This record gives sequence, C-alpha cells and structure tokens, in this order.
Amino acid sequence: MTRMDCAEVGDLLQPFADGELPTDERHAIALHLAGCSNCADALAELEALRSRVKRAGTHPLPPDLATRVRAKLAAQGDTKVSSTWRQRSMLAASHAVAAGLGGFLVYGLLTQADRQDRVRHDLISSHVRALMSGQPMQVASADPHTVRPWFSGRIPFSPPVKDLTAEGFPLLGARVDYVSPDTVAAMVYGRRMHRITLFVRPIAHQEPVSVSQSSRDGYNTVTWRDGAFRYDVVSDLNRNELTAFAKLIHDGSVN
Amino acid sequence: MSDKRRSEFELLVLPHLGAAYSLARWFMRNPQDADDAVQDSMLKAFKGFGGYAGGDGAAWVLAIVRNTCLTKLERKRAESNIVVLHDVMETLEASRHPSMVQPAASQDHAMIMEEERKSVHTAIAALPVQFREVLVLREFHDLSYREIADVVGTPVGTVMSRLARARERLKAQLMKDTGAESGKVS
Repeated sequence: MTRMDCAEVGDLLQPFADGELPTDERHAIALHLAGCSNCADALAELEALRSRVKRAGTHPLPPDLATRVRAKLAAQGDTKVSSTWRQRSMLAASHAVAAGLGGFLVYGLLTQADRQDRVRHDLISSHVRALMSGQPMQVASADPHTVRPWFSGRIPFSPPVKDLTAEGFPLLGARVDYVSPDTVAAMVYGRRMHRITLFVRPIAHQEPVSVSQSSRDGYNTVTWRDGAFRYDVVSDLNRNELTAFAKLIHDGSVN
Repeated sequence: MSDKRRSEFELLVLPHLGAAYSLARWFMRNPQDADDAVQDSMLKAFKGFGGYAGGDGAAWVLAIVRNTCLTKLERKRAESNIVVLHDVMETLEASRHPSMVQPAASQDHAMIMEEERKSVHTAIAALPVQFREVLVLREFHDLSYREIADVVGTPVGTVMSRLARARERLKAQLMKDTGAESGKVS
C-alpha cells in the first residue's frame, strides 16, 4: 500500500470524513492517522464541527405548509391550461414509448388510459402477491425449452418464451396466473435484486391495447401488443431499464 | 391532471416537502420567503412532472427548489440593495439578540442548547450562497458528492472544494463568535 504524507491526507480528510473514498485510500489514510497526531487532530476538529452542525439541525417544516401546498395544487389541477399540458405530455410520453418499442406498433387512444388503469392494478397485484408468497414460479427454469412445453399443457395458447441472460435479464421461471377475466402466462425475470413479471395473453374481445407506460405505488409497467398477444411487464425496476427489457422481449418475439 | 397522475405526484414528490422547505429556508434565510419559494417550487414540480424521468425524486425536487430560490434571490437583489442590507441586519440582529440574555449557571440546559443552535444557524446563514448550499445538502440532506453535483449542476471536484471552503469559513466564524462572546463577558 502506498504511504501518504500529511499534505495528501490533508487534501482527502473531508472526503474521508464524508465517506466518499474508496477502500484503499481509506486504509492509507487510517494508516497515516495512526502515526500522525497533527492529522488525527485535524480530523477530530472536522468531526467536532460536523457534529456541531448536525446537532444544530435544520429548519423543520411548518406544520400547515403541506396542507397549503396540497390546496394550491388541487386548485391548479382544475384549470384548462393544465389539462392541455397533461394531454400534450401524455401524448409525448406515449410517443416516446412507441418509439422505444420500435415505432411501428399500433397505439390506441389516450382515453383508454383509465380503463387500462384497472387492468394494470390487477397485474401489479399479481406481481406483488406472487413475490410475497415466496413462490413466484411454478416452474423454475432458465431454459425456454423447458418453460414453453410446461405452458402448453396448462393454457390454451403458447406464449413466446425468451431467455435474456446474456442481456442481463435472466429468465427465472414461469407460472400460470389468473388476472380478471383471463388466464395469463406469467414469466419471471431477474435484474440485480429486482424481479420482473412478464404477462402474456391473447387479445380478447376486440380489446384495444395501447402502448403505455405508467408507474404506480413504486411499480413501473409497460404495456404493448404484438400480433395476437398483449404484453404487460411489471417491476419495481426503474423505468428506463424496464423499457429496455420490454424492447428486448418485443424484438425477440418478432423473430 | 388525472387522479392517477396526482397520486403519483403525492407518492414521489410530496414526501420531499420537508427537505424542500429545509433547503429553501437556508437559501432565503427567512421563514416567509422560504414558504413562498416552496409553494412556487411545488407548483413548478407539479407542472413539470410529465418531464420527470424517474430516478431520485429528492434530487429532482431539490434542484427545482434551488433554481426557484436563486431566481427569487436574484430578483430581490435587482429590486433593491436595501433589501439585502435589511437581510444582513436581520441576521445580525438574530445573532446579537440571544447574547443579550446572559447565560448563567442557573439557566437550564435547553436554553444553552438553543443558544448554541442559533449561533451555528447564524454562522451557516452568513456563508456565501455557493458554499452554504453544498454544506446544507451534505450535512442536513445527507446527499453524496455526486448527488450534490447533480442538484447544483457542477462537477464533483467543485462540490468537494466548495464544501472544504464552507467548513473552513464556518469554523472561523464560530471561533470568532466564541471569541466575541468571551470578550463581552470579561
């Protein structure tokens, strides 16, 4: 390990106290501090100042400010200007998703949003319920050749199954779930600590499916249609990565 | 705005209201202006919520609060120099006022703590704004250097050097206060 002199340690003392240094530099500084009372004193002084500031604390939120902000926002929502803004931004958002998924997908009217909301809610519930049960998969396999035939005996359609391990989204397994009013194929993928559920089902009753993205209670969803199937992905993964996942699934199902 | 969008805003943005107020209070240096700045910031956040690309909600809100406050301060400065002078006077008064009550042995701990809190607050409030903001974001909002850099819009290296200078100045200011205090007593 390289030894540091007082000047080097002095420069790094603040990031050291702030926990901003990598392990090797932290060790080098600790080593120096053990044998240098000047630098150890400087650190103690810095720590004393920091705890003095922290003890003084910041200014608390005035008790009625939250109420006043809410009232102001509520009044805001009713104006025409903001509803125009909302339509424009939703349009922009759905364009962005459509572009992200390849641009050629059909997307429905924005007024579908509210009806879709109910379905999305059910899908999130299914995703959460399955994870909480500790048994999100009825078949645990990363092999599409195992998962595909597993589905075939249980549901009257055969969803495309793709392993995305190479892209950083390993397939973990699958289950059959019931999301009112349909039986759906649910595939579970991983991304770091996150789980993604991909729901696939045939499009029923002339249901218009719009490409859309939403987040609710900390869960993001992306929905699109492709041929005869409707796809919904649900996860607590961030929106960008989830969209990337959706794009991989979409591109894969075309082949 | 739809109910859904509204509840998303409630979920992702409003939890940071306390942080928003804290930061605004340190920028504006008085409760009324901080209150106004927070209301304006939340309105801006609400209107701009469509452009919010996910990620850290706190950093997004704090950046809006910062910009709102800086704009307000700039406008204030442009309107009148007297206002700035008035602020300084107010700060000075705030720092002088508590010391008019002499701390005595009989005074309870809470009062001494309150005295201490005021003198630290006054010293922070006296820092130039570019030093004050990094110190506040670091010590009161627990932001990392990277997160501070994102809120303030400067490289991490600048955050580091400003933070170091903020602490140096703060230490000097607090030592001066203590010196003045003991000078008065003798």
